[in-house]
Amino acid sequence: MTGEERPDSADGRRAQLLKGVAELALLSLLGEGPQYGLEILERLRGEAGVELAAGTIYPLLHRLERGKLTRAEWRIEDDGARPRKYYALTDLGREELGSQLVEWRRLAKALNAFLDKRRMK
Amino acid sequence: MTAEGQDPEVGRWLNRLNWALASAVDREDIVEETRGHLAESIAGGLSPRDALASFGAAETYARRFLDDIELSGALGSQRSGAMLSVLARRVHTSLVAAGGFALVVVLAACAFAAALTAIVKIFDPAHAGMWVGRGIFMIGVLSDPSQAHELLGNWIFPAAALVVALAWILGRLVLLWSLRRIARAR
Repeated sequence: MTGEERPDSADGRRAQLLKGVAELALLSLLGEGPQYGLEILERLRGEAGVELAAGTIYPLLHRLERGKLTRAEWRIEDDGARPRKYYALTDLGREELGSQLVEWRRLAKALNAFLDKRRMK
Repeated sequence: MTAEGQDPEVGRWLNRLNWALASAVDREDIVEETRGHLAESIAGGLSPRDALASFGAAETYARRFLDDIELSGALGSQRSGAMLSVLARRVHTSLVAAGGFALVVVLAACAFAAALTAIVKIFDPAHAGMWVGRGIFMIGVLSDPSQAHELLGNWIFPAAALVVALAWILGRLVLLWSLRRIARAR
């Protein structure tokens, strides 16, 4: 492997890790209230360090909407900007968020304990 | 919504997206949402090229929606043809799809062989059936019946119907299981 290939490989590893947590982070963000795509993307990047591409977030949002975990509506803001499509969690989405959180915390706790034990050796 | 003041490169990209999403029922929704995102990103200081780069190629971006629509549509309808078609299109990219598809093909072949044997039995009862003999165990047509003896007789008809029914039920279960696995893994 050359030095130039390393960033790609790190990006690939990050993308694989993000794939698993993106949905949880997104559901968690929507748990705060309705938000639109660009806002979701910027908050995920800024607050969670989840560097999703725009080309990833919208298919995910539409998938959640089709799965009835979110509902969406177009709104025109008071500032006369373009209409934006806002996504909000449904009751089913809140249930799913709760289940994913429990599963994530259980997994993170077990994995951290596993990794810490080996680091100390 | 108008596209006034839209960058020509963005306009071309959106046209390609619109074309690539031709079969999607929510095409207009997706295109308008993407148009809004691009306009807002560019208004926020991003160059049109960088804004488009975050979506990738229009066709690849559209494919993500279409794959999802196709998969959820097939699972929602649970129609065998639709599920098989979706699974077949994923054979080269998914091990689950490849395994599931292979299993369905084997089940279909068993059902076809059983049904064909039953039909041939009607016209040629001396050569068609379930045969057992030295080194021979087969369901089908035996050219030299003296090599083995036939076990089922006319029971071949209900047996063939049972094989076809079981293959149908198992095949549907395999299709459902495979597509649900693929859907969960996205």
